[in-house]
Amino acid sequence: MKPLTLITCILCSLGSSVAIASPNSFRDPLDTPAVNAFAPASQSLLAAARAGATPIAVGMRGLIVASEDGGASWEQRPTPVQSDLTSVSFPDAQHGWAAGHDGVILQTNDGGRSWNRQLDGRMAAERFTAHYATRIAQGEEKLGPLLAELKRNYQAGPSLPWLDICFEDANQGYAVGPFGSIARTDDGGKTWLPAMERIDNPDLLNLNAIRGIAGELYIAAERGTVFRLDRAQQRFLRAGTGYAGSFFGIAGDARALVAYGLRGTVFRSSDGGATWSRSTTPTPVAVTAGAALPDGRIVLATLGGMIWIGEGDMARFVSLAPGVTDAFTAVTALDARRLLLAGLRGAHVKKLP
Amino acid sequence: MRRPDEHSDAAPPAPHGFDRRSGTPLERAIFNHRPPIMLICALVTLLLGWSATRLEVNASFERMIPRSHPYIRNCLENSASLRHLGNAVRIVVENTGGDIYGPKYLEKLQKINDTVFLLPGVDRGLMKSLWTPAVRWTEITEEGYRGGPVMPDDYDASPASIAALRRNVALSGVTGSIVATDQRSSLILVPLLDRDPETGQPLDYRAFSRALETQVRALRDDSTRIHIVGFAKLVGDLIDGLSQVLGYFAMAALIALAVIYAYTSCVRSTLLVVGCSLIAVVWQLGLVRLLGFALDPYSMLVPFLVFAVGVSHGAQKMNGIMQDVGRGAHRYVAARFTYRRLVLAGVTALLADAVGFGVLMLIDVPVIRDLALAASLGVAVLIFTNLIVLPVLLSYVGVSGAAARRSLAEERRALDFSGVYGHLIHAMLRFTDRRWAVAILVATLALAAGGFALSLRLKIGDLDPGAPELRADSRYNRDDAYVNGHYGLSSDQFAVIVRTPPEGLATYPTLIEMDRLEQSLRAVDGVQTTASAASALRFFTAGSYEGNPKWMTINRDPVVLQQGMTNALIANREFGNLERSVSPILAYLKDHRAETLTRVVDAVEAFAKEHGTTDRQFLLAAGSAGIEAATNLVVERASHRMLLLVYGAVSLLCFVTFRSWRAVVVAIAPLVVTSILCQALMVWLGIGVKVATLPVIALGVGIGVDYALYLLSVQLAAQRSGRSLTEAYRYALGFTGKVVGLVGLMLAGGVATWAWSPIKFQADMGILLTFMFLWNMVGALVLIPALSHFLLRDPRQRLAGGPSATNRESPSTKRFLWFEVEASK
Repeated sequence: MKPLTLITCILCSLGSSVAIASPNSFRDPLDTPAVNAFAPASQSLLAAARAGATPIAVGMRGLIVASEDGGASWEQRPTPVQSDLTSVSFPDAQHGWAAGHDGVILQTNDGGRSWNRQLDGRMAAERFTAHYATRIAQGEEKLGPLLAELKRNYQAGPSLPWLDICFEDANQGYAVGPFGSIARTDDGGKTWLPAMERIDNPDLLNLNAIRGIAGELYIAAERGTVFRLDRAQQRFLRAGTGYAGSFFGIAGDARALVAYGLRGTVFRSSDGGATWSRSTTPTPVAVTAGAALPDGRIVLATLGGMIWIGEGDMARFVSLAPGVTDAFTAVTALDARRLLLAGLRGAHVKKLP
Repeated sequence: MRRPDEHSDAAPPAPHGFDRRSGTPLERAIFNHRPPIMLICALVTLLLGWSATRLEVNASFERMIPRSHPYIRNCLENSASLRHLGNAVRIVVENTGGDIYGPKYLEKLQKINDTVFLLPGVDRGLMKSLWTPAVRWTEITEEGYRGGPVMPDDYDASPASIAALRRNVALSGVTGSIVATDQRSSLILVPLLDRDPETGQPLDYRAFSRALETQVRALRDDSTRIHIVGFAKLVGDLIDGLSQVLGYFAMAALIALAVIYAYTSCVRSTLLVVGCSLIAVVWQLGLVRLLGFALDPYSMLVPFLVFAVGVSHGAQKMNGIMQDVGRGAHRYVAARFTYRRLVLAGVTALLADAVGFGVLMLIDVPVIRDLALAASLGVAVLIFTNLIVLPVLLSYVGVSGAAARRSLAEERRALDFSGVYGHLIHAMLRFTDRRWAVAILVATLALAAGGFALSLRLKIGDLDPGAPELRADSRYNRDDAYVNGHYGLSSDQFAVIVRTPPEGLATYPTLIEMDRLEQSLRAVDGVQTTASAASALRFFTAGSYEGNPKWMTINRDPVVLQQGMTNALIANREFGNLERSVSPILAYLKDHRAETLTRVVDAVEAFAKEHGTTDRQFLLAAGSAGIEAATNLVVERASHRMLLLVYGAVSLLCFVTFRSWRAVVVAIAPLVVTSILCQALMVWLGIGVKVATLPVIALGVGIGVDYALYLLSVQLAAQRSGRSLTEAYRYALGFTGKVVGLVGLMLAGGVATWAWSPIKFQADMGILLTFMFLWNMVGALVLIPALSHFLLRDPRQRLAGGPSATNRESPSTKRFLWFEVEASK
């Protein structure tokens, strides 16, 4: 071997051993800003909303995308976390909140252009338990079991997600999640407080979705349960539908409510959630998203890639040609003629018939 | 009965007028002991011939990959844990008359399934099809998970059970993997065992592939088509293709026979030249067997090359003897004189060939090293058969007198420029004039510059879809295209190996990092999609929460995570070993072009640098595309070094022969132009630099320099004895030059037949070698005189230090002087 080659070899091996020794430590998704995604509007999205006229969708790995041209082109918005985001809510064009796994709640004041962290599971573990502990110390002993439950929830770190978030205005908002977890704020999220004492949920059912419909707040939950906020008591009261499975969401307007879930299950109510009956649907696939249209119809989207539409009393839903292939996770009306759909393969705009 | 030829043999002067003690000691040793030498050669031929008959044809996957490249070592080290990757055969059963939901189709499928199940070498426990219980459907209901085998347990071909099957397929999510996206075919996934568990014998790919044809594909009928893809099938088809190569060999031999006979019209010498080259092939094959090697798709080409090179040198010898005999020398004397004149050029040329082959050892791929070794052996054998056996045999047999007289007459025509041949010579002599020389050089430079510009677009690696070893329209590649078109995932799989301590796989940080790498890979242009334990975990975690997509996450709670992982690994065993320490991340690529592979490799390397730790390594590479990426890297690195070395070594050999750097430039320049044009041709034909084509350039240079050596050594010797350049070139043309032309055509004709080989890389090699042999020949005959005009016009001054200037006793000078005297008689 030539001396030069030998030296090169030695240098190379030194170089590689240095590279191996370099200390890369694991960066937690909670501490790592989202990566700029390639083709952001084709990534897996889990929820969608409108900030005024701007469609916004959120999804896996801290992704938030927005479209300034009504859904034709999308841009990613920077976020401080890589946690999967499950939900987004805009009470007006400027103020919005996105929530998701690791107990993350992000907030924007500029219509979704920039996002900052309001809460995460680590902060919640500390603040929520401290809040209940203080109130117990002040004599509210009935909070004891809830404190124990909170502690159990945060045992494995910030592992509990928020499955949905809903703001009625720029100040009042709720976030809900599994094992009966629910939090509220009165000051636009400056302080988030646990609200498990404000819901009639002794079995700690998973709270899968929360939505404001015609001035009322509804929570869709496990075991065919729907909760409605009683404004006077400031407490969510439960209503059974007689269905044994979970509801993934709830949608509707002043005339009709539908709660939807597993295997094509759709229940409807025309009395604000007091009584429910089952609707017929085309196929037994998971219904994951729903939205009321300005014209009074209700559109539902499924994980199997189908879009259904119902009208009148919502007793029967029929299929629409979806036009795109995706497993849908969210749907919202952009205007009277167009739907914004989100799914595991990205965001889509669909013209309504 | 005496034939006219033999009658004329009596005329030449008897050899006893010849001083047997003249010539070098080696020459005396050979020609003064002809009988024992012949006897030894005959015995060696018998022995090696017997050995050659026992040579086996084989192909081994591991020998086709660069084993010592770190990527491949990573792959081999973890191969036990990654055994689900790759080595499987996919059998697609297509219903040509409708979809798969018909009793007739399902019955056929069951029959095929059962036949495959019983084939030796099949890993039966891992086999998947609509008829295996391992393919299951699951459904999340209000009560929890519900599931069962996709084929109903009580299947009875009734419409009800077929409806149940249809429902189960929809629920199982096997569309795109087991059932085609158009529902008109379904797939049997047949994982193979590398070794028979009972006998411990490695899988016999050839027998397995044959069984697939005779037992499985034979079950096709009017309404069912069967498509089979997978490495075992590919290897089987390759080996079948190899058997056709024998036919090409026979064709090459016939072409050589025809060309030489057309040139000499002498049966004796034609048979002798071709026979000696065949003896060389027998020796080479016998030696390869003795050294314990088998013939593989690559070393299969060596006998061709040995034969071609042998014929090239043999023709030179035969031509020399024929000219001498024509001039009246006895065949024995003619043989000795020809030996004297050409032994140095011959040995140098063969050494150049050997160097050309030898530098291939640089390519770190076992099959190419085997090829290099086999070819070097073959060339070494040629030194014996062509420089000893052939002249000695010629000294016995001689050439036909008529042919010799024709040869002489032709020489006369060359001298007085009469006839077509004379006119051609006359025209070619102008190449040494200034006007022509300038024109030739300008044209060559323009050609080389254009070629160079084009050659900058030369790509590394394979450029066509499908299995690059076979032709695009081969049945295998048509099957491959069908499977790729009707099932979700591309067959170009690139796998990154994730390695952790035991149980390290099922931890939150590892899975998050795997998820991140998947995300980075999906962003790479050319990656269709990715799969890994991490993305599977997202689905199975959601499965634990009633299939709610908002739960498609990697949860940091160890209980949630472990439960999801357990389910994910039950459903996808390929995503982790039992210790949960090795797991692949698969990227499905849209093609296996080098740029695509490079982008993927760069993305993974960058990620590994930023995220890898000693407890969480991201290792390149496995999967077909991963192995190809490593091969490309090896080929790219080797290609420049190889060219540098082959040119360096050939230049040195030329210098030893010519003792003049100017002559070296004259000899090498045509080769450089050919190399550049060859690369341009590769760009034009869409052939990439790969394991199969890399050797071609080295072989082209090594064999191409023969022409320059034969031509220039005669020309230089003439110049050194005082001839003008034009005269010297004229002699060189008349002596070795015409054989250069002949041999160029013959070699090209021999390898051109490969272009019809069913094996794609052989065809590529054939096309490129044909081009290089032809261009090297044209380059030598046209460029050497033009360059000589500028560099070698006055050899007495400019070749100071050359043998004739120092008046050393140089064999080449003496040989030429003899030729001079004889020719001017």
